[in-house]
Formats: sequence, structure tokens, C-alpha cells
Amino acid sequence: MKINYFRLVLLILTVTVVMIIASCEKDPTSSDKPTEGEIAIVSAVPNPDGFSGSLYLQLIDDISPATYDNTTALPFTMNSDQITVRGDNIYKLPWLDSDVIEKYTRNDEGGLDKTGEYIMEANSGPTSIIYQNDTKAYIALSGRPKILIVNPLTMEKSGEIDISAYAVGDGNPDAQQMIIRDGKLFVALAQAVGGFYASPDRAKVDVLVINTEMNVVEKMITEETSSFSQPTRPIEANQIFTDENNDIYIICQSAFGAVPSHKLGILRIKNGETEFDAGYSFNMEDAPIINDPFNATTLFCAQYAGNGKLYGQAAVMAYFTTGSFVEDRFFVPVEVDLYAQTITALDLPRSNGFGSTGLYEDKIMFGLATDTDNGFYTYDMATGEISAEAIIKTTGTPFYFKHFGEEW
Amino acid sequence: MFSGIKSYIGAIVALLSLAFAQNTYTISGFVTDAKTGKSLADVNIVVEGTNFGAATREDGFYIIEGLSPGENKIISSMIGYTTMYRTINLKTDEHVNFTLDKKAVEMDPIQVKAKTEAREIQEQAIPVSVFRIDEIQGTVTSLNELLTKTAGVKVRSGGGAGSSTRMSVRGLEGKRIGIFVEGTPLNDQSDFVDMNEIPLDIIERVEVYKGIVPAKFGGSAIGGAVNIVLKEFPPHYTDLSYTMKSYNTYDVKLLHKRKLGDRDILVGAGIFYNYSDNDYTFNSPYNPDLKITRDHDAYEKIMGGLVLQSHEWWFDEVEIELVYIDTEKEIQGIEYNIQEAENNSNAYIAAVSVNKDNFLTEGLDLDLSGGFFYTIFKHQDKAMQRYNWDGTTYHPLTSYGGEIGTDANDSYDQKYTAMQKTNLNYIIDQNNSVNLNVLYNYAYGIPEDSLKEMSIGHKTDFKNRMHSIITGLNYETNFFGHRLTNSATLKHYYYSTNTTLAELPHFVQGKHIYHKNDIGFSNAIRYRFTPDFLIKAAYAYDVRLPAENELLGDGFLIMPAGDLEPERNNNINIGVMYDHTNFSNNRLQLEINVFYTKLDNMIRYVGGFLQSNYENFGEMKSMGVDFDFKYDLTSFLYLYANATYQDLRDAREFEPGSTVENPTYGDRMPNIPYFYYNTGFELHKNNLFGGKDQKSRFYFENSFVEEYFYDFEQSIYQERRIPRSSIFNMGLEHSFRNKNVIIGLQVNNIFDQEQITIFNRPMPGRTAAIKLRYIFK
Repeated sequence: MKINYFRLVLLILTVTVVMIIASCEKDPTSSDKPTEGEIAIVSAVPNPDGFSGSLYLQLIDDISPATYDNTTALPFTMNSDQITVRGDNIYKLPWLDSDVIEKYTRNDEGGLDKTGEYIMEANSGPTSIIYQNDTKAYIALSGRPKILIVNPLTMEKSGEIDISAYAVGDGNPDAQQMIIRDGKLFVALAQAVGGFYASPDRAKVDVLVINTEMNVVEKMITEETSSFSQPTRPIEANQIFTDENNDIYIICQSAFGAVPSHKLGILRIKNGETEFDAGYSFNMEDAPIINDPFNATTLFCAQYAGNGKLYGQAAVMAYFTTGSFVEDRFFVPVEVDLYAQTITALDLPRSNGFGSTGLYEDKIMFGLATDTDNGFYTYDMATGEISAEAIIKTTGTPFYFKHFGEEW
Repeated sequence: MFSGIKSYIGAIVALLSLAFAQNTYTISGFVTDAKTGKSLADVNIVVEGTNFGAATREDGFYIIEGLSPGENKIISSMIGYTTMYRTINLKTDEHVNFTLDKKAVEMDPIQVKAKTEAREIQEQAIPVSVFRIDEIQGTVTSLNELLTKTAGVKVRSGGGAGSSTRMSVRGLEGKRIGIFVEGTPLNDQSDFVDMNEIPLDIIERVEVYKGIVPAKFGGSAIGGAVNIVLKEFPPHYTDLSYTMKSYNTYDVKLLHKRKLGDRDILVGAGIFYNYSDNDYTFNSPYNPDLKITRDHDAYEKIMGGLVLQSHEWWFDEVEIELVYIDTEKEIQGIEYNIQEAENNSNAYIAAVSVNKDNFLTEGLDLDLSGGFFYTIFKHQDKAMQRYNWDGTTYHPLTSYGGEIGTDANDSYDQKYTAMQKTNLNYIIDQNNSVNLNVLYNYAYGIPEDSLKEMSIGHKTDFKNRMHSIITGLNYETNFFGHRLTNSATLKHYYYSTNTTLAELPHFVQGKHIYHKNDIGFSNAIRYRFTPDFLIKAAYAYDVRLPAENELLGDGFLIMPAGDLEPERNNNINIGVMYDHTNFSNNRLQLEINVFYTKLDNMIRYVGGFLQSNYENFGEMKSMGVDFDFKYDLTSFLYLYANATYQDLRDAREFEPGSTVENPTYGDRMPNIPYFYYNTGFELHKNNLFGGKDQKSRFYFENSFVEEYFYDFEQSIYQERRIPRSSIFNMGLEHSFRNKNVIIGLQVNNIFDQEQITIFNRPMPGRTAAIKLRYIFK
């Protein structure tokens, strides 16, 4: 066969050029992210692998019945990012997905603007951010034995507080949720030893008391008579709060039920005090749930709503029948009377292990993934009226609800 | 059918079967009628004393590949014609024509064997791609690099040498894909040997089965399978090679084989050594201000073994193999710095395989093989400090140390594994055959990690026993003079585990015994319109049994899931294939397959608030097409291209246990490439620079993968994605002395483009490699 070398070379060059042209990069996607509204809701959509997935944050106007998809929602990382609202600011606190705390601010049009970021050391694992004022905030880290001090306006660090001296069992006391009262920063400490649990031998609750003027630790207070441990949950800001009396209440997750001798409970630090209230200890695990035959192992998705009423979702392992976090409806919506020390199951459907709770004026918004719908049910605290179905239906599980401007 | 199987145990044993390969040549030519001069089709051309052969096409052309150098007696025969013999002293590829005289005596058709084995496999009714490694024996590339250039296949890697890889076939990956060496499953030994670590120099060919897994493979794969077939080496053979690559990566290989005196006993020995620093630099995906140099990613592997093979005893062949593997791998941090944690593993393997054709009765072939593995896996993570990226230190995870995850580790996991495989193949007559394959597997695991127990406060690892028996029965029948072939398969799966587990609530220890039974079946049909053109169609219903870790969890953060059901997969494939070689010995191969897959009971990981577990609730549908083109445009220019489009969609309509619509129903499955292609050309010429017995080969190739999302695409602001990549590689090979001395050069990612195949795991940029190989025969 006679070869036409010119055509051959031409062919090779053509193939090469086509290959190179085909490889050209696409233009990056535009990053304008307008949203609007008075309420922040987040839904969670896992990926097929189960390890990964996305949270979708969007602002909505009100709680009129509606179904929301995630088309214009801002995606965050499931199983990594914690979303916390402070004033008009929304913070993304990443665990393993990133070293960057991102700050978004609600604008005049009801949308969100990205207004700052702060790059942490790797493995910092921020668990909470709390404002002292407009220019000073504290960030608790679970991965490092320190509390960061930042200016939330500029997202620049102005200092840090070393808390390694208060660690039990390792070099890190595992700072969780925080609250500021009367110039004192109260920091709940998990004192986890391997895994996510406190030592089975140590059913104690530690809280640091930090002087916010000096930014120094005044003391660590320890409660060791109630058989509680692990105050607060690392990804849930409302597990520590004050009531109208300015008393601090702390939900103690107590090894999340994994250690029989550690009991789910609530402790109190009274107004003006920096020690635990020796007269207050609510053992929720051994208390019967009114309207339900079983007991609670944990209390998640907590939301204080005034008048000593705390709402949340109690994990009742008796309903964890198939061992499926997705299929088993074992989260029971409850009302906890902090003063009477009772826990009552509300007449709402149970959720799987991915619920949430929020507050909208006089209504509690229960984010439930039920047998029939996914979304936010309402419970009217004044009338006791409960919506028959989810008022706000979400695409994915209802992961978070925050009405801007609510006191709690 | 299975007479070519000579070795049993996994890839490891592959190392030893090194013992049996060599350089090969090709004979091709035409056969014509001596009187009329017309081309003769379907003439049988066989090489005496071997299994090599071919049948002539309509134009009378034949080609036989893979022949040993030296004297080869070629027999040309056809019913009604006089048989012709030619003896060829092969030193290079030869062109040999035959002219046959008509005669009245018929040949015994049983004596002939048509076509090369590789092409026979390619033309099976089930979708399969076959590529011959011995055609590129000087190459510096790796098996993964070759596989990922195959239509329907993608191999994704988390880093350099020794890093974890994920192979997908038509979008299904991980445990759904079976990895086999000589038909024996390798998946259970993946901690000790990776398919990619099998040197190409000892591989004859790789078969990639797409969607449908043949019964002769004993595993419970559902998405496809890769079977690696090893070379046969000549009786006296020594092979030495040295490869050096970027980032202080080098491979050394030494093979030796010899015959013992006048006896038909062969002994072989081999040793392979791989080392890499893997110290490339990349931008941190987690911190925009950080560049990371992989300074704790060194990898070292030593593999060695002995093999004895004999044809003297009652069996046609007896083979005994002993293998040792030692692997040390540092663990590189990406999310955070890791400086001390590492893995170490050892494997000791003994295997025996025998085969006998015409066992008990004419037409019944027996293959028996058994293997015993003793393996030790050690994960050490007990650093008493952790490291910032700037080298400063901070506290460890626990008071017992630890850098990774949530606790300290100093594991010593022993495992005893025994496997036994029986394969019986019976050729009933010219049109019918039946095959029975039984694979028994036993594993006894003894995990220990006292440091972990101390750091978390309770015991998590317990002894466990596992049995599995997978039985496959295949019946193949032919019609219309082998134009139509039908192959039906039935499989039975049995699996049991027995262990102690610590469960929620309160990590109470309990005894757990699980039993699983299931059935799968498939049917494949092929119709050949002409010797060059055929169509094929296949349907399969296959089962993947839950893996050990999915059933048992890890005793700590992943809880057991004893009620997991097997994954079930329905697969349909329709393909068209054209394979023609013209008078100039230029071959054109075209193949198009369209496929449909429905996967039910997908096992998915579910992160819970306290522990996580695996659950059955995924469903996935997939439709796609793959296209493969190969063409010898001239005697020295070869072109190829293949492309794959696979549209995988979430098929679960409702959320588990509810009537709530699944928000991702109908969405494209994330983190799976959906469009990719490979193109390239090769120039090859003998004695390009003068002299004799020299060959040169230059190749240039492009591999393209379209950008795809890491998450389900829900929002217009979705950002996490695996970027589009278009990577160009080139290489040069030159051999002397009939390929006994080979020099190979290769540059990967010529334009130094960013390449990520696993989310947030950047690959090296441009790399170069050089290989020297010397063969003594």
C-alpha cells in the first residue's frame, strides 16, 4: 500500500489538535448567591455513599405553608459544617471539610452576602461562636485546647485562651458550647477520651469560667454527684441557655447513652453564681416520659422558649428497632418543664435520627422526618395546637430552623 | 476451556507465575485454493504442539499472535483439502501464505483450535474488553493506567505509588467489581496486594467483563470483573528490569526459571521490590493559603516467591507455589498533618493447583486448586504528639497517643484464609458444553488492638469466622455451525459469619451468627453474521453478598448490621462488533455496546448521631453506551479511540420506610464520571535506526473525563465537583536483540495539569519514568 506521508502527518496533527482543543477548561461557575427572607432553614441531602452529602441553607419569608426545594439554596457540607446564627450573621463552622470559618450576613434585601472568613489551624474543629459585643467574639475548638478571640466584623483573631491545663485524660478538654453572662464566659467541656465519649469512670460535668475582661480562665467548676457527663452537644448551640431569671441551664449528653452509669440530665448555674446549683439536678434518663412508655437516652435539637419550657427531640432507643438511623422513627418530640422537672411527649409524629427544633414567635417548629412527610411541624405553645402535617415541607430532611431576632 | 489455568491464588501468586513467559511474534498470511486461486475461508491454521491457532476469514487471511521464537510447525488444514505443513524459524513477525489442494479425505475437526484466545474471549456473548499486555512489554505504564484507558472503565487514585485506588466498571465500583487473577478472586486480599502492583511484565492479557460476570469466576461481583491472565515463560529464562520514576520511585524485578535436568520439572523464583517517596507538592483543598508536600507517604513493598511446576505426574500439570509479601506504608495527612502513623502488612501464601484434561472421560477437564494465606495487618497510630503543618506539635488524640481519627491504635490483626476451587468443564459434543465451578472460602480473623481498647475504654475487636461457598453452573450451546451461541449460567451463593460484637446501647457484647443464601442467573447470546461481524446480547441477575465490614462494623463507630440483604443487580447488554484484517495485515476493530442496569438493595453507609452503620436502601438505574475503535492505519501507525457515556440515576422513589418522595429521585448519581474518552496513536517501526532485530515504538495519548459533581446536584450554587481533566501522556520504547533488551521512557501529564480523580485528593502533576529491561534466554 502506497503511503501518502503528507496526508499521514496531517492526520496526526489533526488528531493532536482535536485532542488538545477538547481538553480546554470550562469557565468557572458564577458565584453570586442571592437569597431572601426572615427565616433561615436548612435541609440535608446525603450522597449515596452516606459519608458525604450537602446541607442546603436558604432564607424564607414566613411560615406560611409551602414546599421548598434547594434550587437556590447555599450548599454546605453534611457531617462537617455546623451552621450557627448570631444576629444577622450566619457562620459556617467546619469540622473536617475545611479549615475556613465562613461568615454570611443577611442584607437589606433579605439575601445573604459572604462577609468574611477566618482560616484556622488544621484539625481545629470549631464547635461554637458567641458574641460578647459587635467587635469581640469567642470561638470554641474541640480539636485544640484553646478558645479563639476574634473580631466578628473583620474576622481577625485578636487572641486566644489556652485551656489545656483543664484537660482530663489527654491534652484537650474538648470545648463544646458556650454562653456569656455577666462578663463571664461559660465553656462546657466534653472531656472525651478516645472516640466521642467521656471516660466511663468519670461521670462528671466540667465547665470553664472565663473572665471576658481579662480573657483568663478563672476556674473550672465540676459537678460530680448527679452521674452526668459531657455537657452540651458539639454541633448544637442551644444546648446551653439562660432563662428569664438569667439562670444558665446545661443539657448533659452523658456519653450519648453509651455508658450505662452516665445519665442524661440537666444542670443549672444560678444567676450571679459561678458554681453549679447544688439544688438542681434533673435526671432525664430515669424520668418517665409522660405520654410515652419509654425513657430517653439523649435530648437533641433543644430549643428554650420561655416560662421554663424547653423543647427538643428525645432519642428513645426502644424505637430503634431495626438498627436503622434512617428508617426507625426514634426521635420523640418532647416538652421539658425545667422547673417541674418533667418531660412530656407531644402529640407529634416521631422522626428518624435527623430532626431539628426552632422557635417562631409563639410556635415551636419541629423539623421531623416522619413516615409521611419531611418538614417543619408547628406546635402552638399558647393553645397547644399542633399542625396535622409539616407546614414547611423541605427537600431533604429538615436540619435547622432559625427565625432571626428571636430571643432564644 | 480452562487448560490455560495454571495458577490459583490471587495476584500474589501472579508474582510467581512469572515463571512462565517470553517474547512473542506473529505469523499471518493468506490461504488460497491451489487450482482456482480463490481465497479460502474457515481454513484452520494451528501451530503444532501448542494451543495457538486461527481460522481464515472470508478473504483467506489469518493471523496468529503470541508465538514463541524458534522453530514453529504450522499446519494448514480444511475439510476437503490436503493438509499443508510449514516449519518457520521465528525471529521476527512472519508472513506465510498457503495454497491448498482439494482432496476427498476430511480432517478431524477436533484437532484444530481457531483464533487466538484473546480474540475468542473478546467475541464471547458477554461484554468484555481484552487487551494483551505482551504487546507493550517495554512500557513503563502500570496496570491501572492501562485499565483506565479502557471503554467503560475508570480507575481513580488518591495519590502516588501504593495509594488506595477505586476502579469502576460502567459506574459501579468498589466491592461490586470482582478482581481475579487466573480466575481466582483477589478482593479478600486487597490489604496485602493491589491489582496495580502486579508487574505488567508477567501479565499476558487482561480481561475486563462489563456488567456480567462469568460463572467461572467464583466471587459475588455484580458490576463487572477484571481477570488477569499470566504469561507462560520458556523453560530457561531470566528477566531483570529496573524502573525509575519521579518522586524517588523505583521498581526492581528479577525473575529466573529453569528446567531441572532432563526431567519435566520447572522451578522458578522471583523477587520484586518497589519503593517511592511520593513526595509531590499540591495545594491544600482545605486551606487556601497552604501548599502541602507529601513528606509522610513513603511506600515500600517486597514480594518474593518460589514455584515448582511439573508435567511428569498423573495430572497434566501440577504447580506448587510459595509467596511472601511485606508492605510498609506511611500515612499522608491531607486534612491535617500526620507524621508518625503507618501501616505494615505481611502475607505468607502457599498454593497448589493441578489440572487434567479428559479426566475420567473424554471431554471432561478438571482444574483443582487450593491456597492457604496467613496474613498480618498492623496499623500503628500511637504518636504522643500531633503536628501542625509548620512542624510544631500539639497534644495527641488520647493520653495513649494517636494522630488519626478518634483514638490510638497499635493493631495486630491476624487472619487465616483457606480457599479451594474446583472447576469441571465437559464438552458434550461440538455444540454443547457444561461447566461447574465451586469456590469455597474460609477465613478466621484474630484482631487485636489493646491500645485502642485502653484509649476508648472497652473492647471492640473480636475473633470472627466466615465461610462462603459460591457455585456456578454454565451451559453453552451452539447452533447453525457455531454462528449462534447461547450461554446460560446459574449461581448459588452461601455466606456465614460467626463473631462477637459490642452493640448499642451500652456496647453490650453479644454473639452473632449470620447466614445468607441467594441465587443469581444470566444468559448471553451471540450471533455471527460473518467471520468479522457479530452481535451479542446478554441479561444477568447477579448478587453481591454484604462484605465482612458491612455486616460486622468496626465494633466502635460503625455498628453491626446483621440483617443486611445482598445487593441485587439486573443488567442488560446489547453489542455489535466488527473485526477485520485486510490484505495489508491492517486490522480494524469496532465495537459498540449499549447497556442498562438496575441495582437494588444498594448498601449505603448511614451516619448516625452516636454510631453509624450500613443499610440497604439505595436503588440506581443506569443506561449507557461505550464505543471502542482500533485501527492499524498503516503498517507503522496505529490509532485508537474509545468513549463511554453512562447515565446513572437515583431510582429510589421514596425515603426509606416512608411515603416521602426521595429528593434525589431521578438525579444523576454523584461522584461517578458520566462521560469520558481516550484517544491516541502509536508509531512503530523495525530497525528505524538501522541494524537488525530492533523495534521502536512511540505513542501519544489523551485521556479525558468530563467534570462531575461530588454531591447530588440540588442547587445552582453547587460547587463541590471533580474538575474536568484532559491528560496527555507520551512514551517511547526501543528494543534490541529481538526485544531481549528494552528501554522505555514515558512522560505522564505532559502539560502538568491539575488532576483530581478522588475529591480533595490531588494527584501528582507531570511525571517521568525510565525503564531498562534485560532478558536472558
